[in-house]
Amino acid sequence: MKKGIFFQIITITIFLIFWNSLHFGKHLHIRIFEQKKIQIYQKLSPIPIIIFSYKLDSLYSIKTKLNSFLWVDSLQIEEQTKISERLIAEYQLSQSSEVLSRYTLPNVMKIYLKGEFFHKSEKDAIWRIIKENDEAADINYDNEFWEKIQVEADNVQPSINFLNFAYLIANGVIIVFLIFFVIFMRIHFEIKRDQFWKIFQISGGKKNSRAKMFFLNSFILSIIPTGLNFGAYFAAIYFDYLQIQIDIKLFIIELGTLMFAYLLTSLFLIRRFK
Amino acid sequence: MLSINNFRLKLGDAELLEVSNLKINNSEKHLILGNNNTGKSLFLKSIHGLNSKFEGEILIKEKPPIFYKRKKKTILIETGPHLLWEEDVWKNIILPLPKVTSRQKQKIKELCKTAELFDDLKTKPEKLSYSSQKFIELIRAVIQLPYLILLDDLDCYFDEINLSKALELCNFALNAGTSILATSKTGLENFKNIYRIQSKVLKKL
Repeated sequence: MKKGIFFQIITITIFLIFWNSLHFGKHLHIRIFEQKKIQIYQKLSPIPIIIFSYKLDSLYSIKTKLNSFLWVDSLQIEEQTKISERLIAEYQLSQSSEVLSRYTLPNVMKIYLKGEFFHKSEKDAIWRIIKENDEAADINYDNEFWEKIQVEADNVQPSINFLNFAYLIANGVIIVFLIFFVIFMRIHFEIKRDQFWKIFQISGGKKNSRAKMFFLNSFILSIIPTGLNFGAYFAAIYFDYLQIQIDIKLFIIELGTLMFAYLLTSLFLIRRFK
Repeated sequence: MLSINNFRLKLGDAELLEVSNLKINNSEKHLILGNNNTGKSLFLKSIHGLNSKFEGEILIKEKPPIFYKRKKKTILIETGPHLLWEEDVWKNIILPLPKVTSRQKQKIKELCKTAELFDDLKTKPEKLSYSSQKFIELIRAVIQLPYLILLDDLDCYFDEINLSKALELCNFALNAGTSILATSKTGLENFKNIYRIQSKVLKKL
């Protein structure tokens, strides 16, 4: 392999490693922000929604419906008889049991949620289900705390948005820079080969050989650096050295950028191919 | 193979050379004699397709030189050496060949032995004499077996001994149907078809 081609392969491979590290950096930071959001939401998990209802059937119906939701962690129903028994046992009210029996206590249902999934739409859904089954049910939930958590979590979102925006801009800059870099490098090495091709043609070599060789080298200079990067990424994922997975399409974009740059280069060199 | 009719070469307004009729068949070698500035080199360039400022008709295998613009069927060896100085002799010889077959390898080696270049195959051409450099170009031309090999100022690069070796190299191509058209300032042996440029007109001797 010619030294020039080898040098270009190494340079472009290093460039693509830098570009890919940007993808990984972005994913890593997004993950950190997402974790932060989850941690904030998870503060909701220990706080249950408590429903007081005199209709035990309704509570069981609500339980059946809510069981299918991903964001519901666990459900507990405590029937009124058990509540009175527990109250008597806990507060040693055996002498007042007659008094208690005169009062009708409501049944209680506690709904524990997976905080990270319990957003506005889920909250609305749970309220709707409860009211559909028992209009008179009394819902006890710390709405203020829930709203505070939502605001706190939403405050993380601008950082994620900014990161996504900065990532897009950085990609644009890298693409433009790579195109310019590749064009100038390619032209430099092609000009260095002018004498070779002049002698080649004088000696009887085919006129279109230079164009053929240019496109063959362009193919090699696109495939090898992208392939090396993709191979290294694939191996790192396969052998568990890397936990972050990036979109495979990014490698196709890298390949496309290189091919586009070579196509542009060929336009600059077209006179030399004739 | 080569047919030239009513050829007129002009340099500005002045007429330089007139060739009313010249025909070269396959496997023939022709020599044109002429002094400096008689238009020999420009004539060869016109046949090779590098000069189109002429009147008349040049046909190679019944097609004009422009037809061979992309796929040259003629090889012009000019006075100045056209070699890759950083490459060795072997690389310079095989330069235009897309693939070197074992038969070609064998033949190149034989031709190199004739030209006494066999021991210098790994040598860079800058270390060789001018005539050896020209041998490299000649071997590179004959191994391709083109329709026509054009040799400009043949007497400039070969003395009598080397000239006979050069013609021996040419025989390989001549036997395969290639024709040779050379120019020279002085008369050379081994050419049966000799022309002279006299009063700006090409005349057969």
